[in-house]
Amino acid sequence: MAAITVQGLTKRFGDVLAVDRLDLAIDGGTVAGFLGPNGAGKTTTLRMLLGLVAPDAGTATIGGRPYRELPDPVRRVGAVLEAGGFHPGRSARDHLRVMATAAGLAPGRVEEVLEQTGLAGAARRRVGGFSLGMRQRLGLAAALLGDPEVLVLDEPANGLDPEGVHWLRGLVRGLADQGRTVLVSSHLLAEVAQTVDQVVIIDKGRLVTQSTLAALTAGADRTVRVRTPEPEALRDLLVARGATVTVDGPDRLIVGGVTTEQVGQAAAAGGVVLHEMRFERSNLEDVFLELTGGKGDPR
Amino acid sequence: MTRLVHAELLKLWTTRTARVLLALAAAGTAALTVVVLTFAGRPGQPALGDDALRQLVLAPNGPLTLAALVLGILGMAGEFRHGTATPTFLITPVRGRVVAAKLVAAVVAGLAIALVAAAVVLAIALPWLPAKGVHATVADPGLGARVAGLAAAVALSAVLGTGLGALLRNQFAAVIVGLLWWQGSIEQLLVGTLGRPGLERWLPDGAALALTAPGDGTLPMWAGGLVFAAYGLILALLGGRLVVRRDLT
Repeated sequence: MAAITVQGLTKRFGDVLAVDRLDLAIDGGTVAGFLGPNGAGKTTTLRMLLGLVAPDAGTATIGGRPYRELPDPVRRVGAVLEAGGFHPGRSARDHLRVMATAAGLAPGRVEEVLEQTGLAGAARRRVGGFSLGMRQRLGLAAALLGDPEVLVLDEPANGLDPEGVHWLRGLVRGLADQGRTVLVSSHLLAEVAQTVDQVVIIDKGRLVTQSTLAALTAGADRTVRVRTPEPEALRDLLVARGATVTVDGPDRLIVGGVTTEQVGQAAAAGGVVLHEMRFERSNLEDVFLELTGGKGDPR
Repeated sequence: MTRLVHAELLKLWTTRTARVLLALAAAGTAALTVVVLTFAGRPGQPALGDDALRQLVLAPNGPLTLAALVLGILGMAGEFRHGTATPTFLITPVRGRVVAAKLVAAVVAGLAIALVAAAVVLAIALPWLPAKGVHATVADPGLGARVAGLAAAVALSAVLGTGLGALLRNQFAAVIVGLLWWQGSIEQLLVGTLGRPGLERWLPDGAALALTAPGDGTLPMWAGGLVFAAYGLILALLGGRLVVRRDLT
């Protein structure tokens, strides 16, 4: 059974349709990247999943139940959300003590998660003096308090230096190896590419694609861009040879799943003139931009 | 529920503001008591009577209720100010329980402030009053009721602050409204506009007076306490509904 299920999830803020009939399913025990440009609706989706924002329509469940109906949510789900959530005057240890007390967790867990996130040395310092990276670590410490089987991390790499990002990857991988489910959002595909098993990409509140990382990159590595005065004829020739073809303007085609040699052979066999042909070794980021419309469209 | 109340008290205790407010309340009470005792009976100042201890215990009620009011506001609105509402409601998704725990914690904190202050007054005044020629004893039959009135007024002010914080959620706005209420502007305006002089004893400030300055024109102490508590609880109910329903973005 899927650990996280979202069905028809919809949320409107005034004129903005933040999340639009979103469906997705994350299998238990996997690390899933939740990707999309800024403003795509990732944070709103995660906040609905966590019962902080009420959806206008649809459902979001964890282990088959809405978050608000989980009997002991902190032991089931840990979450790191953007924008802090710390009182600047409280020390890191006190922040965690308050949470552990409210959740009825053993006080010893506080020291364990401080150790686990590398904050033991800073535990007595007031959070107001923390760097963004340290706040992210404290957020992770709080998420780990209840030793949950599901983790929801919203842009956890924000504000981390390269060393911190490396550490985060190791932490997430370690959590996954223990059989936990991790849903980690990011606006940068490369940031999570080394860590995730599957990716969910959304844009403008809608699902763009959900697949394994391998499937996403397999189609991406071999793309040939062709310029020809006879695009329809060439398209038919290429489709007959099993390529995927997208028309990209009056005289342009984007051909997937073939090499330049195969395109050239098809054109020669059909007597089609080519004006230009270019092999593109697009990386993950290009795939991502292409899938999400590319412009970023900040909202 | 106990663990939620415990967590709320820990929240208050682990911020500097709360500790500073408690320290200020104790120090301010001590200073006020010393000033009254020093100047009592001098030219132009009324001499102390046998009810001196009772009056001294109630003397600091103004600053103490204000401290409790602000503490209540910060406890609730501070969650939104600093975004701690997110972790708080992740731990306890049934938000009404958090609001209830905050109200109980406000009562506990208010009682603590009032009892610390009363202890400070007694510690200073009991050894000092005989030197002023006043017979003072903790066995004074009226003293218990005065301490209880002070404790109720301070605790219920914290409840009112919690309700105000929930209703407005903006810490700054809630403190401003709280201040206006506390120094009486809102009620004067109401009474003045409505032209009903008997009204004020039914308003929050007038009801609180029944606890801290019982006398002619106020409600009986128990009734004043009930009315004052009702205002706090109504604010908390209205505000609590908003807190429960509002999206946390």
